[in-house]
Amino acid sequence: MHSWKAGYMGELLLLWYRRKIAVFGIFSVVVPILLAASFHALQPILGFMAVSQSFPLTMLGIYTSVWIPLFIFMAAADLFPQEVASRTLKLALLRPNSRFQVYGAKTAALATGIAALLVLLGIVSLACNLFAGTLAGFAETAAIVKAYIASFVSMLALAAVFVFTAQFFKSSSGFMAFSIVLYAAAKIAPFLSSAVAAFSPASYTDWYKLWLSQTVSAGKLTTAFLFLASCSLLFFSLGYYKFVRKEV
Amino acid sequence: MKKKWLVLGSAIGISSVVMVATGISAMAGTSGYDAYKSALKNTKTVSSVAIQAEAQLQDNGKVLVDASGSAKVNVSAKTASGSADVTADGTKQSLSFYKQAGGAVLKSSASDVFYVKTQNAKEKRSKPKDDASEQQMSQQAETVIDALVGNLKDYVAVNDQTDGSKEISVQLDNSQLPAVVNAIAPIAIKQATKEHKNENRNSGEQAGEFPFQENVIKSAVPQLTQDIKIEKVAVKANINASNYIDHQEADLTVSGKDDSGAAHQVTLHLQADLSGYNSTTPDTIDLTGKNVQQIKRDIGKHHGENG
Repeated sequence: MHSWKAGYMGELLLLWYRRKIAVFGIFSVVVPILLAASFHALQPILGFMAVSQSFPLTMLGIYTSVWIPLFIFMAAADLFPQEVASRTLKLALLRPNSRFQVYGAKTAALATGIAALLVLLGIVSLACNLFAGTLAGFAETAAIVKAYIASFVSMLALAAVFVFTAQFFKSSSGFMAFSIVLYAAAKIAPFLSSAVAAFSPASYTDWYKLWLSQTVSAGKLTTAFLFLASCSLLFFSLGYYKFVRKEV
Repeated sequence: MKKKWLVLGSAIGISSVVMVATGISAMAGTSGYDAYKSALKNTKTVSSVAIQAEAQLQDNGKVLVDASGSAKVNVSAKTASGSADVTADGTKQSLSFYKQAGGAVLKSSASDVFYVKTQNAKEKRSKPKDDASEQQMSQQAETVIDALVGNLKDYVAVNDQTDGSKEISVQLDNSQLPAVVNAIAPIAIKQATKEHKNENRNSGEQAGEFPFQENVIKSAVPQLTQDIKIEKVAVKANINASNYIDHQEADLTVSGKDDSGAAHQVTLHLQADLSGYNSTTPDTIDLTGKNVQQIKRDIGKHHGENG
């Protein structure tokens, strides 16, 4: 247990000390503030969407479809192909812990990063609401928190897919390029065939909306949750299988 | 070592089975969205139908415009007949219309004149439709619409009744609408309510112009200029046992402020009842001996939006 925790902290610190991750975090905080300010400024001219109570959810929609996936690609590239390329993966494996611990720690660090981004975004966008004078009531805030938690689940599934994909790459830039193309393809595919949408975790990035509605049946939510959970587990396991057989 | 592979193998096995099973159940489409889609396609195939429709526009609970009408439509013969009442600002206007072999006939209750728009030869010669390519087109359009709707399709609730009919309902509030809609709708609404300001047509009856004052309706609508927001969209439909839509209603609530800063909550309610599938015959009118006037302007252009 101790070595697991040490490995996890080590991976987190490694992520934290990379400048681009820090820049990513800062951007995540600045973008909602800038958007809120510009909406507020444009409002008298355009009658544009006001910074309303649903602002945190509008932002969540943008973040889960583009911003957080980008973070996943970047962090996964740093955690796996980058370490292979710079031959530092050996160092992690030389420590007295199993490959599962190393793999688990890396994935957990990625999940922590996603959670941190979501928490940051939630706090900042709620703060924007506070300044715009449209603070949500308790029920709305509870709904927002629920939506953010649901988003975390879908982002985990997406992260698992890309952690698995990362095992095939030996250079981080190659992985980045491939992931972006793959993700874009996964987003476009439902327009060509509707069957794809049912099996692609990329089409679940906005599933948090289901949690906001009163009319969606519990069965639907359970099915979708099971899909995302099994998708996470499947790709996590497949990724581990690849990771274990990797020659370093 | 063996235990590890066993655990890994079963994790992969179980999770892939669950993933495929849930994916298939998501694809199988037991949702109200698919039920509605199939009923809509089926309803499109009817050759004739009778429609009872009503529309109401309210501002802060006060009725601004109330319109109701009934129509009999024969799709295959391209004939129709019906009547409509529009009440705006306390004034009621009624009209009846006939679309028959000779052209379209309009009559306002305010006068005895029948306004006739004869069909010109160009319109009559409609192109023969290429059924196969049209079907393919609509198939593609359907896939695109499905993809755009995405997870929102699970919002559509379906309620099966004992007599085989279904109740479909969907309700979206502001935070559930796609961001794009939320961004564009206020601009569109602002434009739509602003337009009539400059339009100061004199409403005197000109020769050949149908005596219907659509200005009354337009000026009744409050002009929203700021904080425009779609509050709620709700759609309900009933599908009968033979998979035809027999009732459809929609509600749209928009909130905003006008120039003076007064808050408005504008609600639009639409509803339509359909009946007499494939067994409706539109009424016709014999114009011999009636006071007939030819219409010079294209009428459909400026009262088509009143429903």
